[in-house]
Amino acid sequence: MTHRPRDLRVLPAGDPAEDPEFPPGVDEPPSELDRRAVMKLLAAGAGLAGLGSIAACMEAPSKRIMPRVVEPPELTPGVPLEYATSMVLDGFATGLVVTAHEARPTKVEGNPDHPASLGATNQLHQASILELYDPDRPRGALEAGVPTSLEALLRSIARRAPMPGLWFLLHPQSSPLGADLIDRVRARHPTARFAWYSAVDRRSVYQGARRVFGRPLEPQYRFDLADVIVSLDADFLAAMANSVRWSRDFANRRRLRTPEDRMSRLYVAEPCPSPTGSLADAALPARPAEIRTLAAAILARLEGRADDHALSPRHERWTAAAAADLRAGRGLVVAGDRQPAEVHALAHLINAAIGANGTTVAFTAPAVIDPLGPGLSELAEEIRRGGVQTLVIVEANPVYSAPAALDFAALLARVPETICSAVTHHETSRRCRWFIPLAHYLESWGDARAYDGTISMIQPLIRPMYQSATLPELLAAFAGTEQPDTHRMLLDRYEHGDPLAWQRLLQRGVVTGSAPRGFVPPIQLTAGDRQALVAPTPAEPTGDAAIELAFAPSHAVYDGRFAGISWLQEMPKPIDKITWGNAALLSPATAEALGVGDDDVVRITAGKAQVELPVFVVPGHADRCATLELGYGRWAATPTAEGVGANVYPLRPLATPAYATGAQAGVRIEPTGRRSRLARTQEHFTQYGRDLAPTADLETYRAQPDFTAHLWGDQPTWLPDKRHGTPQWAMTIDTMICSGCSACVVACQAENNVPVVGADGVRRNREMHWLRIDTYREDRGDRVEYVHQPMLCQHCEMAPCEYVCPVYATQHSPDGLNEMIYNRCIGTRFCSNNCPYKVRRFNFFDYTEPTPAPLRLQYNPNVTVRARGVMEKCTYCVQRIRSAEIRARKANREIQPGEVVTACQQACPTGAIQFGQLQHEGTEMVERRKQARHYAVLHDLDTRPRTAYLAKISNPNPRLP
Amino acid sequence: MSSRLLIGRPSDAELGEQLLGTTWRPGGRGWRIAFLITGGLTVLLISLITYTIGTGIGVWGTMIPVAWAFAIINFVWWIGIGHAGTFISAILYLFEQGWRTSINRLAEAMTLFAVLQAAIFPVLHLGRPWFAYWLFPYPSQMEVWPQVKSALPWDAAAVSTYFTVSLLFWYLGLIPDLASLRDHAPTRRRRFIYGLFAFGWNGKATTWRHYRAGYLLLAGLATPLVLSVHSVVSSDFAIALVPGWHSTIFPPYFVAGAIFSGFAMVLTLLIPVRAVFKLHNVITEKHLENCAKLTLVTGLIVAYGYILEWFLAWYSGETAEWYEVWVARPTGPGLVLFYLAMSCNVLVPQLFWWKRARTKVWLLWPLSLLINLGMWSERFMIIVQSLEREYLPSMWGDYLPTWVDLGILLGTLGFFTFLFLLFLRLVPIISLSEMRDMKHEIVHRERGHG
Repeated sequence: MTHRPRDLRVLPAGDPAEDPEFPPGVDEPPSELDRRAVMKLLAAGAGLAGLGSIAACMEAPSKRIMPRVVEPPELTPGVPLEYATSMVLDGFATGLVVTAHEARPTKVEGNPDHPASLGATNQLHQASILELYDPDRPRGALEAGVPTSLEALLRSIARRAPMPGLWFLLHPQSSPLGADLIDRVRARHPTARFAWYSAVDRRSVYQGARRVFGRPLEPQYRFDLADVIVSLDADFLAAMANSVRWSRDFANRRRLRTPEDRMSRLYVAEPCPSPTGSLADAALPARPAEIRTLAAAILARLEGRADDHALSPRHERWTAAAAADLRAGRGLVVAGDRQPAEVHALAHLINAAIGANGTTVAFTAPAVIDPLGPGLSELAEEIRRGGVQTLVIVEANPVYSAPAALDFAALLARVPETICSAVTHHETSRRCRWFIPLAHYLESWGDARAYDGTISMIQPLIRPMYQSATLPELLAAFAGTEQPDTHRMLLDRYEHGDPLAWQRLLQRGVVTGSAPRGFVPPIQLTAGDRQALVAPTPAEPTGDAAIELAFAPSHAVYDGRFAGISWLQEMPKPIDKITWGNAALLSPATAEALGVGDDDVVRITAGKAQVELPVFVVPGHADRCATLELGYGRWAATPTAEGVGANVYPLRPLATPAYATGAQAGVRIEPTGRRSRLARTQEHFTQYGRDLAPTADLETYRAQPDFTAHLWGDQPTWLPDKRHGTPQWAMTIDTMICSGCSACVVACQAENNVPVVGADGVRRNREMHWLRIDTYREDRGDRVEYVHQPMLCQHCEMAPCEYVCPVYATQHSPDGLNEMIYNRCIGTRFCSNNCPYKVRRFNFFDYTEPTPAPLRLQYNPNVTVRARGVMEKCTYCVQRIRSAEIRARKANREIQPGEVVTACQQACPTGAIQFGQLQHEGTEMVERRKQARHYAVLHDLDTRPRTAYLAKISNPNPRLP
Repeated sequence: MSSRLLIGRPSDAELGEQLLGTTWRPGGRGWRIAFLITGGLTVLLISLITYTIGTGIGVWGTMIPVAWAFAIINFVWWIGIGHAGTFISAILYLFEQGWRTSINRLAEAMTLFAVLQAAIFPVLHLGRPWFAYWLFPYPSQMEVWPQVKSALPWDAAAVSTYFTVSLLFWYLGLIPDLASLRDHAPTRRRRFIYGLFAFGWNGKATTWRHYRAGYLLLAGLATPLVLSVHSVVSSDFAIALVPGWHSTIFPPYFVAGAIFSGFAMVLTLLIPVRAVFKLHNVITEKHLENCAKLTLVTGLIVAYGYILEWFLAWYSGETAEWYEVWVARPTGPGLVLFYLAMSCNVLVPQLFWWKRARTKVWLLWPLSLLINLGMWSERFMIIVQSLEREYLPSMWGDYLPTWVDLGILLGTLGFFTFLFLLFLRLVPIISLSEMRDMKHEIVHRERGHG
């Protein structure tokens, strides 16, 4: 491929008068060349040079993107703009609204108009913005590691004759445009095959539906309508495709306003407590392989058949209670993605048996393209047969994540031509001949479907930072387009000659009414098939050696693709509070049997693969089972991702990628005698009888609604009341609907320029999060009860931090905020010592200075970047309060209820965090403070916190002990 | 006045020769090695201070929740040590205790140098030490003054006042001896230098009269400081609501602890000085015994403070405080230091009920070292262990110092010793003028005129 330098002589000779680069007279000598004139010229020259460089950076986008708010069509410096776009994860789009300051995106929020978001986000959406600014993003295309021209590469691809043996390996896709392009690629290269691969595989969902209904379908759950929810290893609040939306739906059925309100009852059977399991009313520790038996047992009870499943008494009681509740109320059974097709099929049968189909469950065609199409194993088979001549891998990283038995790296080496495209380099891209930088979604055009099928638009917030292509452009090049342009393709598809409609579409971010209607398909199941499904599973091997491994995508770095994002690496994970790494999570009994405790390194063997991991003991975990988080131990990624934790992918068996049983895979766990300290942000998970986060079950609550009465109310004092004047800001947090998902933690970090400190910093207890989630668990005999308590500055009216500061660096504002004056702080840290909530964070080092330049582009310009040696803490997002004040003042009005939303509140999928003014009667925030179950943490210290909490009420089945 | 305070009845000239001679008798090889070691440690201290200020206090083990650790422990410990000097020189002076005469200069020098070590830490431990002056009520153009509700500006005021008054008091006592040095100096250069510092002392009766009045006034001024400084320091903790800090017993408990550790340090220094300079005739067993007795008394007050802490933690009914005192300290992460504090501060002083332990240096000296160790451990117990286990178990954290923490502690020990060695070589260790006074009084009384 030749790369011809641009020939200057063929440029069109334009009229110099029209060329803004040469204004009239610039090439004439000034008439009078005195000292002043020379100075002027010099200054003008310097100015022009500056302008020129600014123009080069800030060049107006050649395609028009639409701000979400129509108020000022132009960009006003200092006034951030918001644009609707979407982030796609394994084919499912979540609508976002991204804030841009002076054309640089700084913060991700949910799109209230988008069905998968309703204005909320999860931790991955929040952190995704940091990947855009990753300093290690590749700057251009590579051929065998040598820079090459992307344009020329795409052109040469477009010009290629039909290629035999052309394979694509992509993450699951739902883009309507992508579907067209795939057809076009197939038209040009008739033998082209598309394989779909994500380390977090959802094929079993579709296989289960196909088994029962004859075709792959996507179940659409209505958690807001269900009285009884049975989760079969499904973390539907935090780890599934539509979790953000489902969290809101679920919470809507659990938001008690009065003790008489009804709430749903949640049964969860899973190996390791998940965010969903931590909210369960009846949690049952069960190994992944036991889930099928539980499902079959529930179905047997519902159908009144003799239960011939060998269940332990505890499992027996649980299934009996769940079945009875499902029969009595409006029920819903949801099976986890990692469970095999049989469990999904059984869940469908149970839902059918209790009449849930049509009420709490409906079905749609899957949003993803070709849901049961070829996967990694088909591709591997084809490579082995020598049928793959050219392999195009986009985003997917099988060299890292494929099971060891596949040895994908060796297979890849056998493919003659390999092309990889990814946002950042990964293990696979480094082994491919060609590398094409993939545009980040915040710099891409595109479209995709949400979980319910709604078409969502992706519009760029920023011109591509570096040379890059989008997936549609790549596909279009293969389809023969020499200069592919996603924007053009989208216009062709959605504009329909109506530019205004196109504008509105971009402003809204979703194609209204594009979600297919849910329906209930007839069950097409032969009697034999049914018999096979409900038949008892063969007795599992017993004995001490039989141990099962359960693999779960990391709550922080997902399948490893987000491992380069430091915010996620440092996010304490909901249940174990581990940052920067993964652990072998074991039940106390299993750990005792192995003779290991927290931080003891164990060697885990499955087949030929061996991995060493430190242990963390999780009460409530299933016995004889270890939960291992995927996504760590990257070895050829970005510096942030590499060497964090251990890679457990090689342990996964080919047949059941989500779990490995001892019998199948020869699983062994043995202590090594070494220790490796995990970087945890919380070490003590019990309340030591201190009544810090009170809980009650529904019956107790109804009998005694004011069971938290001793934890609120004023205590006698001579100090003056500080609740005068308007407005007075306050926050209420409902611990009942907090799953600990930590979207708020990352949102706070993004909004407030909170630095990361690294694993060693966390080990030294120096993490900087302004908002953390304290998780307490109480062992109540047979069950472990979790309560998550988001903990941030309580903005105490009688703040203990304020009176000990010798220099007035922390003070109370008239509107009830506890304010930090960074410039005045000299760093005595007395305030931190005297803060009983320990929410103050100290800059032990200069954490900002080492931040690489591109990452600084993410900073929120409205929040001070803190210097070394000063204290910092939650401000109740004071910058948002002050912006609202300025807006209100300009419009000569009061701040409206709901006008100020803190970053944590905005991100929270369940709406557990509410913020506002005490004067705004009738708002959710004020209404909650009047509920009987509210409390102040450490009330007896009479700090009078402005942050009030609502006690967690659970709804256990009285028949279950 | 007991005759046991002076063994033998030397003439004024003999006394002068013995006590002034320490300044111009050439030091041997041992001295050079001692200066080399302590000088090296001083350089280490300066390097580590530079490193800390240049990099941030993240190089220490401090963290959240233990935001105060070695720096504040060292501060309280050193300033506590400083208390004995002023106690001896001012309070015992007002109470006309003759046995203070031969040890007051040494004890006061110890005070000065200990306060100097202590003064490093409140500045160094700041996140931004270059703004330490904001703690003082200086006329700022922003008209911002320190907040008087916080104990820290009081701390700054108390410590700086204490240092100033101690320095003046010490120096005033030194002036007659500097004049003696000037008058007896073997070289011109020394005579000139000592003369410069002697402020033209002429030894006239009127001069002596003014001097006595001034000394008495300063003694009166310094006396309340002995009680106030550590009371203020204790309020750094007592005004906070940290379980284990929030207690009204703190001021007397801290003052007693300070004098307790101060006397232990006096013994630690006095015993080797007495041996090296062969001062057995002027620093007698009686002196050592008196110091040991005071150590026992203050040690008993400290023990009472401990008992009250335990009692109040139970009596208050506050779960966090009860847990802190009854569970976290004896069984928590720093339990070794808890048991060190208890055994060294409560059990060790009980040995002083026996005369042998009070008078035999081979027993007294190691015991004094143990008490110093115990008092450092007590500050660790109060500061670090309290912070490790506060109200919210979710934020409990275990503290570990870094090498910089240990290096700075070692460095201050070296710097302190360095200054003390300089003191031993440059001025009379024992106040010659007061010794002569005392000798005349003793002789006078012995001749039946008393």
